[in-house]
Parts: sequence; structure tokens; C-alpha cells
Amino acid sequence: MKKLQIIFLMLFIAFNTSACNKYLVVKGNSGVYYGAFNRRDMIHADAKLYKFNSDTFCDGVIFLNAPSRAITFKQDFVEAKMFLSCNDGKLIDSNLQFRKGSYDRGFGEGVDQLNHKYVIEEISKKEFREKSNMKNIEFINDKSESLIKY
Amino acid sequence: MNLLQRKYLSLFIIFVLACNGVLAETIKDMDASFKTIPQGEYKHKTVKKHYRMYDVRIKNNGKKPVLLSSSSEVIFVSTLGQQEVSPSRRTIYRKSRKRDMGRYYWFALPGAIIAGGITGITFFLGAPIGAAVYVGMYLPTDKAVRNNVRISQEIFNTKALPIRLEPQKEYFLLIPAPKNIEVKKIVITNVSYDLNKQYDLEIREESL
Repeated sequence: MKKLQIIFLMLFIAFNTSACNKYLVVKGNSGVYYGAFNRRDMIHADAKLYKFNSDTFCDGVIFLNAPSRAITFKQDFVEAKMFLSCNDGKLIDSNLQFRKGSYDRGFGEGVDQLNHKYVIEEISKKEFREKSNMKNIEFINDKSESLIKY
Repeated sequence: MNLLQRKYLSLFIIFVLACNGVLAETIKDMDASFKTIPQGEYKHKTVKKHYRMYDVRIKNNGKKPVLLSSSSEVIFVSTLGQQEVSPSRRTIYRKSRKRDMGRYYWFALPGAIIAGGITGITFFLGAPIGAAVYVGMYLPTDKAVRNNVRISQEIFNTKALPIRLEPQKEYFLLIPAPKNIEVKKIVITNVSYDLNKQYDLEIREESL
């Protein structure tokens, strides 16, 4: 019985401490953005990106066009959209590809309202920490901070 | 000019400047109109619960592209002159999605225990119950997820407000407005040609 309690306790701690962020890098002519996204349900995730060595940051949302509810085909790539709204007035609209079940190995291209192109790629947590000089990105459910206005 | 006159003059100048700052100029060469979609014609019940949908058509008749920015907002003006700022697409989706997981967990655990217990006794009875639990759990969640995809496709993808309105191109959008407001005019603020001088884009109701 004691063993079972320990197992449940370990599982509870693991569940609470595991971060479910996945990390992204967005490269454009104006600079490089490092950020993360956090899944909120089967099809949508919130995203936050910070421009490297700058005060600019972006807030956005990602959603999958066809999620997987099946046991099979979870590894297939599926189209996704990402909308970002930045505090310097920029809006970035991007088309991405993600794995259906896990949102893994994302990649794609985006464009802002001035037709500047951006290349988007998913990176590991280790790579994110090394390159961006940030430890982690927190997602707080505070609507007042949202940069998405419409 | 005495001191009092100067004071009134400066107050008048400040008032004029403030008015210019608050009331932006309306953008020209845009053909935009909207019509209300009757509640019966719109299919997603969860969206209808909070919002009324408007079919919007925007055509940029000018020669330059019109740019939106992160400060652009959609404002609904009612027949009484009341103004309401549109919630973000993210908020609209969150409010109107169907919950896809948590709702059916209460059914899953006791169902699985019963099915598992019976399977232990006899395979022939346990298996159909297990299958029923699986179908009972899987089908509603699958239906909810598929519905959410359709809602998000409309809100974010196929009929979303674009970030850039190209010249001589017509856009068909779907704009959800809160149910409590009877919309007479839709205004999209802070649109521009070069991200410097900001204009308003007015969308009026289509006359029958």
C-alpha cells in the first residue's frame, strides 16, 4: 500500500512539474525571434515570441487544421496556422506543418503586413536556452496582456 | 489680445487637436458592406449562444494595399450610438468551442473499471461492455474536436480578417459580434497605407 502511495505521489509531482511548452525560432530580415507555444486543447495553442536583444515581443495563437483523435496516423504532418501580433505594430500570418498528435517537428513560413518573409522552425528546449538567453516562457491566462485585438 | 482671449484660443486649439487625434479620417476607395446572418441559418450552436454572425464584404478599389496593424480593432456601433470593441478571435474561439475532453472523464473511469472487472470473469460479456465504453467516450469527443476544427477554420482561416487588403481584391469575412448589441455600423480602426498615418475603415449595412 505504501509503495502505491509513493507511485501516486511521484506521478502527481511529475505531472505538476512537467512543462508542456514547445519552442520555436522565427527568423526574418528584421531579426530573430525566440519563443514557445503551449497547447490549450486538441487543436489550438497559445504562442509567445521575444525578439533577440530587443524589447519587442509577440503574442499569438496556433491551430491545427486536422487533429488526430485516432490511435494511428499521429505521426503524419498536418497544416497549421499561426497568427502573431507584436508590440511594434507588426502582424505575422504564417502557415506551418506539425505532427498531428504531438505538435512535434514544426516548420513553416510566415509573412507580415509589409510582405516581409519569416522562416519558422521548432527547436529543442536545450537549444532555446542556449541561443535565446532565456530560461523559460510562462503562459498566464491574463486577457489584459493579450496583444491580439481582433 | 488679452490674457482671457489667449486662454480661450489655446483651449480651442487643444480641443481641435484632441478631436483630430481621437476621430481618425475614414479611408477612401474602399467598398465595404455587411449583412446579418439570421440565427436559424448559422449552424454552430456553441457560437450562436454568445455571438451573432455578420457576413462582411470588403473590396479595396484603390491602387495601394491597405495594411492592418496590431493596434487595429473592430468596433461595433449600435443603432443607439453605443460602441463595443470586438473580443479577439482567440477569446471568441475559447468561448464558443465545445469542450473536447474533460466532460467525459467521469464516464471513462467507472466504465473502464466495470468493463475490466467483468472481462476478468467472462470475456464474452466484458468485451462488448468495454467496446460500448470506448465508443461512448470516443464518439462524443471526436465529434467535439471535429466541430471545434470547423469553428476555428471559420474564425481564423477561411473567413478571417486578413492582415493586408490587396488592391482590386474582394474579401469575404465572417465577423462575430456580441449578441447584446444591434449592429448598425462596423468600424475597423488603425488601418493605413504605410503604418504611419492611421485611418478608420467603415463598414455599413447592405441596403436591400
